[in-house]
Formats: sequence, C-alpha cells, structure tokens
Amino acid sequence: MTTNDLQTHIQDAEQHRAPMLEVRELETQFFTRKGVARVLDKLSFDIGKGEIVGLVGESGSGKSVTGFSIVNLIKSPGKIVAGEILFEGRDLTKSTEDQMREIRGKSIAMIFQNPRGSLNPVLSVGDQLCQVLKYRQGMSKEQAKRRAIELLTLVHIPEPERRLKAYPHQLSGGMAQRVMIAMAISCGPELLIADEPTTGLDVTIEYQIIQLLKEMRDLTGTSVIVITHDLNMAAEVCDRIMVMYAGKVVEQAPVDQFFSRPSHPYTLGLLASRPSLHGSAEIPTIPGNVPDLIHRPSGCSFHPRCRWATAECSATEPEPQTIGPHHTASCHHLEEVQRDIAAAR
Amino acid sequence: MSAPTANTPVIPASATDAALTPPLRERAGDFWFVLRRNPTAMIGLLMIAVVILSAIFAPWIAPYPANQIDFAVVSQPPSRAHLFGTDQFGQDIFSRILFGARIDLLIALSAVVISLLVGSIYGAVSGYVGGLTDEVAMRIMDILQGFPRFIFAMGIAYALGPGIQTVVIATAVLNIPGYARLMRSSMLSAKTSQYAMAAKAIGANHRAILFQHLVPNCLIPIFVISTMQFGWAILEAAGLSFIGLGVETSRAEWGAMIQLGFQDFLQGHWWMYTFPGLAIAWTVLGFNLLGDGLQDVLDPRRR
Repeated sequence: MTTNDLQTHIQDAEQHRAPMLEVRELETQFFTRKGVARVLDKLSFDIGKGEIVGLVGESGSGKSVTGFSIVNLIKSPGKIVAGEILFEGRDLTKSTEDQMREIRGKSIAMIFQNPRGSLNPVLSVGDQLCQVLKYRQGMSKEQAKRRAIELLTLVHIPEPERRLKAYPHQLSGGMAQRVMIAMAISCGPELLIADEPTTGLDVTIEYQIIQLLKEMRDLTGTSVIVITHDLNMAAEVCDRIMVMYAGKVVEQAPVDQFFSRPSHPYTLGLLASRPSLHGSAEIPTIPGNVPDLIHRPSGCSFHPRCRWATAECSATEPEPQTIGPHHTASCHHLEEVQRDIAAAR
Repeated sequence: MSAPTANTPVIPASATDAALTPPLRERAGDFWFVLRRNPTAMIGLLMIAVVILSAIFAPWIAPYPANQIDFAVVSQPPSRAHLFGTDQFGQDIFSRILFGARIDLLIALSAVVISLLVGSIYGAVSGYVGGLTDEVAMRIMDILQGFPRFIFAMGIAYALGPGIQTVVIATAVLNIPGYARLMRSSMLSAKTSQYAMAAKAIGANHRAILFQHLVPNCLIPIFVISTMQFGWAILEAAGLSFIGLGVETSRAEWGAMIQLGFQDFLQGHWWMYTFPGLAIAWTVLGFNLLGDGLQDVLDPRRR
C-alpha cells in the first residue's frame, strides 16, 4: 500500500468517525462451577463504517467471546452482565431475542472458522443460500436462485450454477468459506464478524479469502471485524488493529502505526513471536500463559508476564494512553518500553 | 510490512479448489454400489423382495383365493394340490400365506411410520428445547417403557378390541419411546454443532433450525432402526393376533393363522402353524439383515 493510499484510508476512517458500533465497558462472564470467569473485562472499542478492524490476541484472550457477545449468542453459562453494545444507536444488550434474530444476518452477520462445519451437511449449497434469501429477504424461489448464482459469482466461485447442487462435503475448505461469505453478505449486513476465517485453510487459499473480505468491504461498504491470532493476516487485510489481552483492548492503532510503532509490551511480545524467514531459528515466546480469568491478576492483567512490570503495575490498572492519532496503549511504562526498544536497535 | 493495495486482483479459485461435484443420481448410484457389496444387506434385501413380491402378486401366484372355504379338503397335510396343506376350513395355507404378506406388511408399515413420525418429532423437540421440558418428556417415555413391552401391547389391544387398527396402534405406541430416545440423543449432539450456530448467527428462527437443519441430520440412525423395527413390528403384530387380541382369525394374517393352526396342535396338524411361523421368521430375519447391512453402509466410519 502506498503512503498516499494509506493517508486517504486514514482520512476516510476519520470522516467516518461517527462509529457504527460502540462497545462500552462490556463485561461478559462465565459462571462456572469453579467460580466466575470474567472473560471480557470492561471492554470498550468503536468500529467505524466501512472499516476493517483486526481483533488479535492469544487463544483465551476473549476475541471470539467479543464476537459472540455482539450478536448475543453467548452460550450458557456465559452471560453479558454489564456494559453496552450500541449498534446504530440501539443497545443490543437490551434487545429481545426476537429483535436480535432480526438483526443477525440482516444487520450483523458472522462467519466462523472451519467453514465446512458451518454448512449443514445434508443440504446442498443452493438450498442453504436460497433458504436465507427466501426467508430473510422475502424472495421468490426463482429470484432466490438467481440471486444465489450472483452471490456465488461475487465470491469468485467458478461454475456457480453447478455449485448450487453441491453438498458441503464436496467443497474444499476455501470453497466452503467463500460460500459462507456469500451467505453472510446475502442480506447486506452493515457489520460482518469473521471469527478466524482462515484458520485451517492453506496459505494460498488464506490469502484469497482475506482478499475476498476486503473486496466485499469495498463493494458493499460493510464494516468487518476480523478475529485472528495471525498478525500477518491482520496486516494484509485490516485498516486498524486492536490487541486483546485477558478481555481488554490493550493497544489499538491504524495498521501502519501498529507495525511501525508498537507500544504495549504484550504487542511487542506478539510481534516478536512471529516466525520469520531470516533470523534466528528459535522463535522468542512470551513467557507464561494467559491469566486465570477466575482469579485475575491485580492491576495490569499482563504484569505477571511483563519484563517491565513494577509494583505500580500490580497495584493499579493502567488507563489507555494516547500515542498518536487513533493510537492508544494501556501501560504504565510506555516511555521505558520505547527507550529499551530504541536501545536494543 | 506492506499490505497489497485494495485493487490487487483476487486470484480466482482454481479448478483444483474443489473436486467436481457428482450429480445426485450418481450419489444414489454410489450408495447402491456400496450396498451391493454388503452380503448381509443383499441377502436381507432379497428375502424382503420375495415377501413384497408375493404380497403384490398374490392374486396371480396363489392357487386359491385367501378365504375359499372347502369342507371337502379339511385339515389336509401338504400335498401337490395344497403345497402347505389346508386348515380346519379347507382353506389353502400356501395361498393364505401369500395374501397374509399384504396384511402383515401393511400393519408393519403403518405402525413403523406412525411411531417414526410421532417418536422422532417428540424426541427432536424434547432434545432441542432441553431443560425441564426435556426432563418431563423423557420421564413420560420412561413410563411407557417401564411396562414389559408385550404386556403393554396386550393392554392397549384389549382396550381397543380386536382388528387391524388395534394391532397398528398397539405396535406403534410400543415403538414410540425408542424413536423418541434415539432422536433426542442425536439432537443433543446436533444442536451444539457449528452449522446450528451458523444458522443462528444468520438469524434463522427455532423452527427453521430444528426442522431444516437439525432433524435431517439425525435421520440416518432413525432409518436404520426403522428397518429393524419393521421386523419387530411384524413379530409383535403376529404375537397379538396369536393370543387373539389382534387380527380376527377369519382374516389371512400370519399370527391369526398360527392361532387357528394351534387349536389343532394335539391332532398333530403341524403344517397349520409351522408354515405361517416360517413366513414370519423369514420376513423378520430379512428386515434384520437389511438393517444390519444398512448400518454398515450408512456409517462412513465402517465403510
């Protein structure tokens, strides 16, 4: 991406600052036998219109739970206990199940990893697509079929007429994910949540799928939340990246800022632990594990694993600090961290 | 880290991305191909085919009408004129067995269809709704299953009075809990599947999720079981008729024929009950073999 493109992108993002989705102090908790796991801990973020936002973090950082919370599909024993999810001015946490059903698919669509598992094994691709079009869009059988073919063409499925008759087990993972994307955009949602859309696909297909997501955004202007643990993929597709740790956004930045000036110690750890073609054979890792969410560490949740941690970190929780335009990080020691990185270079 | 520009052409999905899709007719062909190589299923299928064909073509194959009473040839042992002998009224047992296939298959089919429909919808809803509803619904099935099967059927048949409908209803009620349980357990695993979640995420309502997505995925074990139940239904129907609570002995029904024949047990008229008994055994065995074979064919892990 050239600098110019990037700037127009950022300007675009600024123009659309009035966010279409605002998550405010969201708390989703799981009431397990061992105690209450506070999976999302006062999580707050915004998604602008037409923006592709990457939600990255280790397994167990609450990325998927965030996605499921937005569409209100948290399974028992999980529950949203506090906070607001404002979508087009409406608080989704207060919506009834009937209202949510209306929103799901039509306004907010979600796709999952393991696309073949997301398709009903006994129904053909065409039946599944047409069903959505018939029941959600009120199309006739003929219209639905025509639209289904259009949608499959849109997601670059060759021979769409023939594919309509295919069953999920006859599709490759990449094909199945294309079908899922077609289904997700079929009702013209304003927000698409892609939960690890490329996990389990091979690398070339992965690239095609993320390009497709981008293309769909350009085509329909839908906002996209990409949930992933793959920073390289996030770099390819996202306008903005949010790093989650233990149910909180610890750093968020436009994609270029994110890679040029990573600030939070956790972000640094994630970036360092990516395998690279050149460099040492040993990949540095972040010591320790994602914290026990039932007995969360005091202060900054990351302090037990952080080499910059001090007494302050275990005592008080850091507030988000502004680093640049739309770039914030929640850490008590941002200066020291920056100094040490500069010294290491 | 440079991201490619938005107008980078998307690499078209290559032809190797998915195997070419065989049409449905070919898939049915595949099924037949696998089935044909399963000797158990094929023997079962052959045995059933004999029964079905004799039911269909009984008026042409049978040397005598089913209810032709002829007092000139009462209680004849098997001979050239009467292949399986005759009963106390001079009715040809071979002919009655052929015609009997019609009644017995009809009873079994009706009973299986009724219990399959009622049982699987009951079980599907129970498993899908879950919680207290499920608990109560399954305890009701426990009560039905708590009685010894045949005694329970006798109770129903006694209350309804003899006749074909009685046998159908009694046999159907007897089999409902089995289908309900099977459907419920399949439903419990299907409802946590990802496609159910994906359907929910696209805004499908409960009815669509339950009947369009989940139930069709739970049908294979139901079909396998119903093939076997077919055999059992015939056995149970014949059992009821034999003890006089089912089909009247005037009708050509295998159970009723055994009962009629058994009245002459002490006279040593063995052909009167042996041949209808063999017909029942043949049919039940056929259905069980087919069911066993289908289980192998339809279970992808055992292919």
